[in-house]
Amino acid sequence: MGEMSVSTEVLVLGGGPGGYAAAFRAAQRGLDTTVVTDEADGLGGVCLLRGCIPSKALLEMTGRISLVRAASEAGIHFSEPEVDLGALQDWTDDVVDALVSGLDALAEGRGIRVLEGRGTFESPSRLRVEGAEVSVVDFEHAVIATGSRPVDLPDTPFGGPVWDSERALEMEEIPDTLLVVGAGYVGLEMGTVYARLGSAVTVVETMERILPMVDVELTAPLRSHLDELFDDIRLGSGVESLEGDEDGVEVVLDDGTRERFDAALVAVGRRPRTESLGLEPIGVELDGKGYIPVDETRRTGVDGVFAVGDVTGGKRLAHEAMREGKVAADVIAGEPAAFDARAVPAVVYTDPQIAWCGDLAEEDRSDGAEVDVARFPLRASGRARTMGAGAADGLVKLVTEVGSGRVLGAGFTGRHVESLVTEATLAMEMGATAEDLALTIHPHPTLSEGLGEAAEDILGLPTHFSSSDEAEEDR
Amino acid sequence: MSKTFELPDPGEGIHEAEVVELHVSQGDEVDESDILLDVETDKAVVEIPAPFTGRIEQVLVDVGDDIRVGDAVLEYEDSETGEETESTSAEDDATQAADPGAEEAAAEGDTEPSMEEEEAGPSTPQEAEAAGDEPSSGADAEGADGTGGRGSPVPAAPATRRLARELNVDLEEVQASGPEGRVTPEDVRRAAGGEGAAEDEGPAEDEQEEEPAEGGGTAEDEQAEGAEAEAAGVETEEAGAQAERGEPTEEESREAAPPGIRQATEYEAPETWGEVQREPLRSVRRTTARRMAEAWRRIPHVTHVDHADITELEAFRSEHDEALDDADLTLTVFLVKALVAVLKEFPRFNARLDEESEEIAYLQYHHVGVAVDTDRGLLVPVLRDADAKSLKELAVELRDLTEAARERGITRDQMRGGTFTLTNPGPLGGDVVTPVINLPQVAILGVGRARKRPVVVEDGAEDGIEVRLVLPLCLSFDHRVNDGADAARFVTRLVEVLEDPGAFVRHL
Repeated sequence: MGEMSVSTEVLVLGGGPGGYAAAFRAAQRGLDTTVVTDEADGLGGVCLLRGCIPSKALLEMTGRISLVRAASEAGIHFSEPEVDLGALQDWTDDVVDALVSGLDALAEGRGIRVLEGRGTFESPSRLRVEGAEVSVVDFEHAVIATGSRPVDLPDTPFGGPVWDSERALEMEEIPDTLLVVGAGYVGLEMGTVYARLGSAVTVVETMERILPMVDVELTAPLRSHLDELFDDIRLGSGVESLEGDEDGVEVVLDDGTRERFDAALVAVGRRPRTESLGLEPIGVELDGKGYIPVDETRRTGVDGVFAVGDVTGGKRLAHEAMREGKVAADVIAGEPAAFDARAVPAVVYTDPQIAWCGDLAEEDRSDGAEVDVARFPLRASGRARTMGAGAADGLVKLVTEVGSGRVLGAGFTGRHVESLVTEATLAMEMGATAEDLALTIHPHPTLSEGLGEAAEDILGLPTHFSSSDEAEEDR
Repeated sequence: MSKTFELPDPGEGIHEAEVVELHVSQGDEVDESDILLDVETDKAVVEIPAPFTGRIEQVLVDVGDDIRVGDAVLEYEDSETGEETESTSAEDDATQAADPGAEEAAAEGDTEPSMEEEEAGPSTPQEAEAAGDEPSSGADAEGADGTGGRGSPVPAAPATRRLARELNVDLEEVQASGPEGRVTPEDVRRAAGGEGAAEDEGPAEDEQEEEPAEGGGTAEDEQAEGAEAEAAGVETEEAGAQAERGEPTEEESREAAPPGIRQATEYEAPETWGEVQREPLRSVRRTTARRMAEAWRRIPHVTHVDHADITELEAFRSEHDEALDDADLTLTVFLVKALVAVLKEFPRFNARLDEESEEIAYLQYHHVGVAVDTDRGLLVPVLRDADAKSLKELAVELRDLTEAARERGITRDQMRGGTFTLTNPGPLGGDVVTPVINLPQVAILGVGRARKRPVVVEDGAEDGIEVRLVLPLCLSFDHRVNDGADAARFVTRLVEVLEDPGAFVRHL
């Protein structure tokens, strides 16, 4: 119809997990909803288009290479796999495309208007849109969900052989040598992909350990696996300078060592996309790091303007953003919603995987609680043993409150632990206790028994291992 | 240890009050719930009780002072040091219970520190690098529980926490009945009832209960009642179940009393009686459900029915139908045209009731909504300034809007701002309809099916019977704004216009 302006009850700026979840929920609540996204590829955001989904597709497929190699321990021998990079990339794209069109269909079915263009706030009730046929969106409520972008190193912009995580997912070539700056989950996951495909990977990390914010006990089994997979892991090493040229990159570390690599992946964090949205003119204030402060109903300081996802900080995980988006939409619809999650689970998709929720600290806890800690070694798990390929090198760690037995945290290292953390998360949300977990029947043989065993250990009644003290000695 | 007592919110959004009487002076020993002072707001004189037991050290206000909520009133020393923490919390209770806003402010206060704590992790991007793109697990726990790290959150399932928000119950204040201090939905509902809380949480709450007797019902009291009524409405079965269990404590006997006739009955799930297929209410269906229920609840509807003889109009219509190349000159178009003419003569049907200012707003524009049946459900596109448009213009616009509505091309704007609605299910059948008014409008015309009927006509002095085409007209109106006589005059006039096709010619 060529109209220049639309009015809507709910404007969602950004089409990522936080944005589309907000839009879907708003539409389900009967609100007229419009999404404005500057993504030409449709809904899904960085997570679906250039993040979680393509990286998991690559990790899954390249993981088969290591599994196939490891099968020889059980007498099954395969020849070396041949990798058709183009086909791998096409398959990954197909996975993403199918999910994107699914989201588009859902949006259409729910009567949501999706505009592709760059939005800038003109007032607390009007968004100016560039690049779409609609140039003005008048709204009653807005949900800001513009996400985040990778941080580059000072003096080393992304480009050429200096990759950000999105470039690393393009899989155009497999460099012989790859430097990964940052041992966070992005660096370790993408480093794993390239190492499996043949790159000699060197990881540099300023802190003294990998995944510095993950409980150290959970990272230990991963560390030994990565020592085998990667060429080198240099902890406590900062990057002094990193320069790209035609042949690759030259890096100088803060101990003075100078080295060349074919490419470098810089994965040192993400920063919120809050600039040039016209936020300050309409009164939405940012904190010192560019995040938008919100309350638990996701309200910013400006009436009718909400914010969800990476732009508001937090753990900056897709599932957290989705919940926040739904909370914002529910609040707009007048529901008594609030972001009051007791636990936000997190998963690192390395091999072994690490997944956790809650606080795993034994002492100096933020909640001041006195805790009991149980550790179930996956060596004692029948199922883990049957998987081979190092699947038994892991553990389940359970933290409960002394006295009540209430679950305050749980962590898992091992294969497929992505699906184990959910039970612990539910336990935390429900206020369940170690006894509740111990009395819940876990199917045998599965990895899920680990949590039940750990809970039994809290009660002093473990079945398939002696005690957490003994497990500790073993380690 | 010396403490300060501040003026709690006396309710009803009052922030300022005048001290009219002081009941205590320096050195007095007071017991919890003794009256400390009287303050006068612009609504009433309110007695302010002591939320503590102790000795008054200093009175900081004088009679005649204007003081604001939160201002220091006096300093006192707690006599029962053993219960120091308890009485402090009672004070908090009083302030919180008295100020519905205080709870919100407190919640906000909680959130901010937790934001800061999340931010307190890596302080530069480079440190964030080291942090592995995530804030610490410590920040995780704090941020997640929403308590800003003050300790473990009250154990309660997510759905229970939602219920607590809905009923304005602070989980910290709820007496838990679940294992290891877990709060159950029943605990929350009991706390929302107010009585359960008063039982254990000190006289501060009792005072709040008593206060309204003099103050004539404060805001929070109404709120509490509302919450209670809501809870009761939701959980009739619950109450019944408790009654069966037979636990006749004072609090519960009130909850377990047989439901009054004002309360909604809750029915057993339909699955009880056989297989059921369910479909979620979405989009248009959901909006319609909400708006219709709201209109039915808020508006006292009356429907007035009459019939118009449209034999001549129909002849006129079919004669001119061909004149429009690409749009149909439908009966609906004529009805819109006739309606705007009559609405101008009866402006109180083209109006809004402003409940806030208690005014009738006469709308100086005539935007007629026309109900359209689509596969998504009922949509009502609006013919803007219908009075200024010709039959032909209306016919073309109505066709365009109807198509847009059916093909999902319609914008929200094209469905807003209507001043009167026409719904014509006639072609599908029906005689009398009692349409529901489309808020915030004050009337709606429903049209039945035009049928040939035997009509008594006067032919000179003799009555005869002729076959005529008769159209039922059903006007639902808001009886707060118009009376039956007004509706009768309105519909009579509409009948006259429709029975005189010449009128349309004059408007063409």
